[in-house]
Amino acid sequence: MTTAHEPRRGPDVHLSTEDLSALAEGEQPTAEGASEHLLDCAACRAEVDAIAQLLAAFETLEAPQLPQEVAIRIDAALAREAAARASSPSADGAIASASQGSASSGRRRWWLSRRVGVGLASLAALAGGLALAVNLISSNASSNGAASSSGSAALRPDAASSGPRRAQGLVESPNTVAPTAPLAVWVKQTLGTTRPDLEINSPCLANPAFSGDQALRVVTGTFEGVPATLVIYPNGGDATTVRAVVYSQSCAASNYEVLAQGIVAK
Amino acid sequence: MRARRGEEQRARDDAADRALMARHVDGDPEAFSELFNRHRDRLWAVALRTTGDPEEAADALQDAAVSAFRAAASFRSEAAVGTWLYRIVVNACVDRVRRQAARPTVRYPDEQSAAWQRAVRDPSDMAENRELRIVLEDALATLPLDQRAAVVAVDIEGLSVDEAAQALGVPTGTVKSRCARGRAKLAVLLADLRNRPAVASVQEQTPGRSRDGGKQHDGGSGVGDSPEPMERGVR
Repeated sequence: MTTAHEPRRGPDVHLSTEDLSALAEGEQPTAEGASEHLLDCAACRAEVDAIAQLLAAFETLEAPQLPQEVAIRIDAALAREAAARASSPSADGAIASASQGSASSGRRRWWLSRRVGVGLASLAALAGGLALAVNLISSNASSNGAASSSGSAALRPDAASSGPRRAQGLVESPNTVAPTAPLAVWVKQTLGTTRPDLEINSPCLANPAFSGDQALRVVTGTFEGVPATLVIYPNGGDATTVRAVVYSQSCAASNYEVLAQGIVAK
Repeated sequence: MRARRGEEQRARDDAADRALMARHVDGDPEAFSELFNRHRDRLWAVALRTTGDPEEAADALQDAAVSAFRAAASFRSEAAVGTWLYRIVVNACVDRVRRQAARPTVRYPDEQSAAWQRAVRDPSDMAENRELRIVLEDALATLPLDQRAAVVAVDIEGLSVDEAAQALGVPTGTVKSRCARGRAKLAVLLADLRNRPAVASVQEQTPGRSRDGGKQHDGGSGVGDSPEPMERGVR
């Protein structure tokens, strides 16, 4: 098939791509003598036909369905935005923006660092669904090939302290959290209640571990307006503090984002 | 696709969208999610086809949702809310595609990959249409980004040329010429597909034709024997 030349007037020159499209849509071509040219030129007629067939083929396309996993991600992202906005005028604004990346530059870096892991993880989650989230957390999910294991690096609490692909808010050495910070308050509340040492009260977390330490407590609740899971780990050999991580509460693997973490005095 | 809704229905939809925008700007924490959910299926289709990659599309859509959430206060009413959202999604897609193109290894969706097929397949689809669709989606991904975005907007999403001009931020004449050039290329690919049995036998005698590397000339009837798209890697 030939490609039409650039628009020129006159019957001896092929039609412009725009006129070919216009004719295929049943609209008026702009070039003088275009219709006459079409009668004489088999090549241009073939192009008009081909474009008309293409337009008919477009009619058969249907909207692809939004994957559930993507829908969940977006819901969670918007919920975080709403929570950040709700808390930003208050004194907690700094905490909210630090842990939720609402500054645009921070967000950009977060995206850059996060996309490899989570982009792939989201595909893996498409394939594996909820089972993957459980596997990732129980840290035995490296059998799914390179794609999902890089995803697990971003998402597994075990891997949280190594590598650049960390979920939002993770820092290399979590700082000790001020006793009045929401994270510390939640940790105190949780540790203050008399309960079994390990209570897993989450539909998603099976057997969380951090640097080999089993979690002391896993509880669900609300963190800065977002449904979240708090996991409390021992802080190495330090008996006076604990390491606490708050994950956004959703069972989709890519939603295992860290909302806050830090070292909290017992 | 390409169904244009009635004017009245569109006006009603936009009025509802604007009411949600107003609630959002007033601080209602639920309003924006509700608004975005009204549009997200369509925006997903736009993102998927504009990026040509389900992973990029998911990231772009989330990016766009967050951008729109934050930019809502500065929304001015010259365009429909849906068109405004469309534009934010396209911009997010363009950002991502350009960033990806700047990286040394440009990855295009593999039309045989499970993720891509899942992304474009309609479960109720009949087999012959499925092949055509996958070929079409794949061919779309070979177009230069600006032509692809125009074809998606006008030919797939059914925007008028004026709406597409608003959504893409270019003059109407540019929309028309990008559509025309994109269609011309896609028409060639599609015609090749339709003529494939004849083309294939010619190819066996003339293996020198550049895009007939022979990779997929196994004569099967599944999606695997779709033609290798032209200009892969050329933007």
